[in-house]
Amino acid sequence: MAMIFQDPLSALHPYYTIGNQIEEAYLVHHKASRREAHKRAIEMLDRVGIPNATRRINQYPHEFSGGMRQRAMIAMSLINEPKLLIADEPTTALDVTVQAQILELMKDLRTAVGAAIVMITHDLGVVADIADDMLVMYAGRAIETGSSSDVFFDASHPYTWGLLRSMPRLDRGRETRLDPIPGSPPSLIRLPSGCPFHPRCPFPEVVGGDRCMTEMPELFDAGPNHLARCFLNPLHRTDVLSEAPAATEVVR
Amino acid sequence: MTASVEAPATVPLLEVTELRKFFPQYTQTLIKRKSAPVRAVDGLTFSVDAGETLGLVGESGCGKSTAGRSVLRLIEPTSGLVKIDGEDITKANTNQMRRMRRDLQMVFQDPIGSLNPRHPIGSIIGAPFAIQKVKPPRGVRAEVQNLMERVGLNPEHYNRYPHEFSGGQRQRIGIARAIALRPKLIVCDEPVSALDVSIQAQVVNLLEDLQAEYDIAYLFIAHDLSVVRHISDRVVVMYLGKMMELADRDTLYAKPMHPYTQALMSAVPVPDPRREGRRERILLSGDLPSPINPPSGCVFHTRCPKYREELGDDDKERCRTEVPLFEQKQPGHFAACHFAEVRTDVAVLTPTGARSAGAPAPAAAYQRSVQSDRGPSEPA
Repeated sequence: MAMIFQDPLSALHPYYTIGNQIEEAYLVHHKASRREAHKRAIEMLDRVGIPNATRRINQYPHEFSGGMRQRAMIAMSLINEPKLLIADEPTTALDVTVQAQILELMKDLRTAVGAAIVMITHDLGVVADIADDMLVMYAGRAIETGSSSDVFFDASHPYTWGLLRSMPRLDRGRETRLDPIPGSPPSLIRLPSGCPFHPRCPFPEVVGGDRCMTEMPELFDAGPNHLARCFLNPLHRTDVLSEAPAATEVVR
Repeated sequence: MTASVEAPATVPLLEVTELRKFFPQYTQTLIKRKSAPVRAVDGLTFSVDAGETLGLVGESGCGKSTAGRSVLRLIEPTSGLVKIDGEDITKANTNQMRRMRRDLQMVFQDPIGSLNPRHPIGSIIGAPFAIQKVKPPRGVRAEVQNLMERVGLNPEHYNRYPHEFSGGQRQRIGIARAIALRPKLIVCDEPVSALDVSIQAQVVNLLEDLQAEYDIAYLFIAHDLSVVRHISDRVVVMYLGKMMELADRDTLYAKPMHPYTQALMSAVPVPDPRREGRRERILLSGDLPSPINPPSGCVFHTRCPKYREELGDDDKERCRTEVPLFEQKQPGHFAACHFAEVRTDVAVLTPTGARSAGAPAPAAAYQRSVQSDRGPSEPA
């Protein structure tokens, strides 16, 4: 099990060389000599695409660029061949071109090492690129989970609809307006009663009564292997979506 | 909409010619010596018409923010002309500058760093009135509350402090301050980068509404290509302090010409798993070179996929030695590349019915672009 952090500059120790830090990860888990660890670290740096790894290994984090630091982090996390890799916003601090490099690298390594990846991100584009299954969270709870294509094309929770509709997208004609979710996320100290999304949700009256305000919805089936935490049933959804044309576009 | 290099019939609101900003560097051992400067902005030429939005995109460290600040003289440009309504502001003295600043405002990237934590937001938003000695007819307080209401803040929060607001609200405060004097131009330096997607959409909508209402021109600086496409009329792509490509939005996104723009377009992940699997992705090798010692010839040649894979030795020589001119390749479409060619296969927004496998010949591409001057929209 290993983790990749969002900000590689603060996750790496500025006083130690990159090599030192990667070797340390190896030595903690293996009975190996420094020299072996060193060799292995060079191998890993090479594998994540850092040119001139033998020289680079003796440099400090500040001598690396943002993309290189993230590569070094990935090398460090993969040196023990983990079965599970948790990546917390690994590309958020990077430019799109570098982000594309890192995502390609992670996909390659996923097949090569055979690790499972938990990708934590706010960028739905990244999810579409790399994820097989996805889980949408709101206010500390999973509100929708399913395979990526189910969630993207057959989104079943109003919050997921809102997310998909509020994003400016390169692959769509420019609509005149973005469609934001009103309000802002609730404080986690005093969550709204019932469904935590109800103050920002357009559909409590479709559900009827004050059920959304008083009762926390379970994760209901929205399809095979596809769950959504919402009282709207499939019948409601068809109604709601036929009224809102923009939403049908998202759901197709 | 005429592009900057042609002589426009009317004077554009903002006209920037050959703008340069070099930051001098010093090496100090015994004697302080000047060494090679950081060439942050190296020869920008563009114009912005009244009520228009010009997007400025590029990777971080390419000089976008420096360009935005130099335009307003928040940092002194090294050389070049910046004309507002035909009047050069680079030579203006403090008094003249203050008068002109009334028309020029800025929205900053970091909404917490650009709001004084010790001032209530009423006095922050009202500051432009005090500085410019403008007396609104109904008094400053009424006007500020009016502004707060306009940008979607509760006017009763007049006496609250910046830390009491969320990120999106703070950005609204910055916007209220910028529009207080009804400026003609606002430089928006990554105004939505620090915000969540759902909040980002609210702020983008607000900016668009204000533009329609007060006829404000935006110079919109961002690294997020989707946001820039949404809000801009024309887009400039920068790399290492230089302009790589300039075109109207639909042309640039559907038919990028410069290899760098093409790589940028292909790198943007699209929230659509089916399409994401099909797209070709151009990967750039390596990182941004240092602006202290930029590559010779075309600054992009060290990372250029075209240079690496397609060009012959003679052509490569040309890229290494000769700086490509920023010239008009098609009407209103400028690019700085010796071998610029339209590619439609990398664009996320493909022209209808033209998903060609390879790059089309320049002549054919030109024909096509003349026939369909408006960017096609996505078939459902």
